[in-house]
Amino acid sequence: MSVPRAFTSQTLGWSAWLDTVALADASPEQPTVLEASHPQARTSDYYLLLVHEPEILQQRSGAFNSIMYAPAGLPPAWRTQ
Amino acid sequence: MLPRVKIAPQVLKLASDEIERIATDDEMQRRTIRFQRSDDGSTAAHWIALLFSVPGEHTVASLPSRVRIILDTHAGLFHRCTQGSHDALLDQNATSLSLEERLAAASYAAHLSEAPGASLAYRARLHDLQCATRNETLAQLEQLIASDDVQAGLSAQATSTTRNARLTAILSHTRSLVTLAPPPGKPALVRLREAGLETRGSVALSQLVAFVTYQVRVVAALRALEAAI
Repeated sequence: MSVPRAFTSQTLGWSAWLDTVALADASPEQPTVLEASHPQARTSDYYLLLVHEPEILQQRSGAFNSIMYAPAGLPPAWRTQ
Repeated sequence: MLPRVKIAPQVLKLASDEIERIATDDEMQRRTIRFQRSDDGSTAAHWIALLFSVPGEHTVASLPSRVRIILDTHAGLFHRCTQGSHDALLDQNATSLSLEERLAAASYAAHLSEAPGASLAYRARLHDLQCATRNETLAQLEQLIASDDVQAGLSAQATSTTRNARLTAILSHTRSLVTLAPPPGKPALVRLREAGLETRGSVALSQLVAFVTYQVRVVAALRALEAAI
């Protein structure tokens, strides 16, 4: 991936710099962890890289989603700071 | 050097206001007392989740059932998964990156985050580990931590043939992830691979550093709240 040098208001993509897990070679556990992590995880390089360690990703997704998507409390934008 | 952990004043104010409101409820008052007395990270995580989940607009009368529902769902999940992350990252049977290497990286990440207590706690676990290379690993870690100039310490290690190259690569990448100086990039990933880490190991290391930097912030936030109420 080339390094962007100019300002953009476009949504930035994310590419893996290491090999990702191919769904065809995945263990029975890996697709289940992906589905619980994010609706688009099965087509996301980010999640397909992290799922190399499925148990770690599963726990991390549970904590992350409960912080970022819990109802009420801080506005979502503040939670990312 | 400035502390890395900063909490926005408005977040602190919002959180301490919530504690005051919550503390009017009997059950919550008991929990608040437990929180004040606790130095335990898991209880701290539970409270951060609660604080960030309780709505800002409510009446005291409406709070208890609302709080209980949140405690039972989101905070419960948050609490379980924070503990679960810790357990998965520091699994006794860890393979891609040994437990010895994980504890060394965790201790160094805490040190770089200016959390000496957490750094020492991870080092103590490394000390208790039964493995042949433990003393060598501890020596390398402690030399790095003791070094006033971290960059100089790393350079000195890189030139020393007696040092473990794999551990040097792991701790060097840990430093890049925590301090972003230099920012981790493709060359760093290549160095990890050359030092014998497969992708799984690099993923485990990155997740571990992310967890420790999060863990020390939860504790720092709780300490700040404790001082504010």
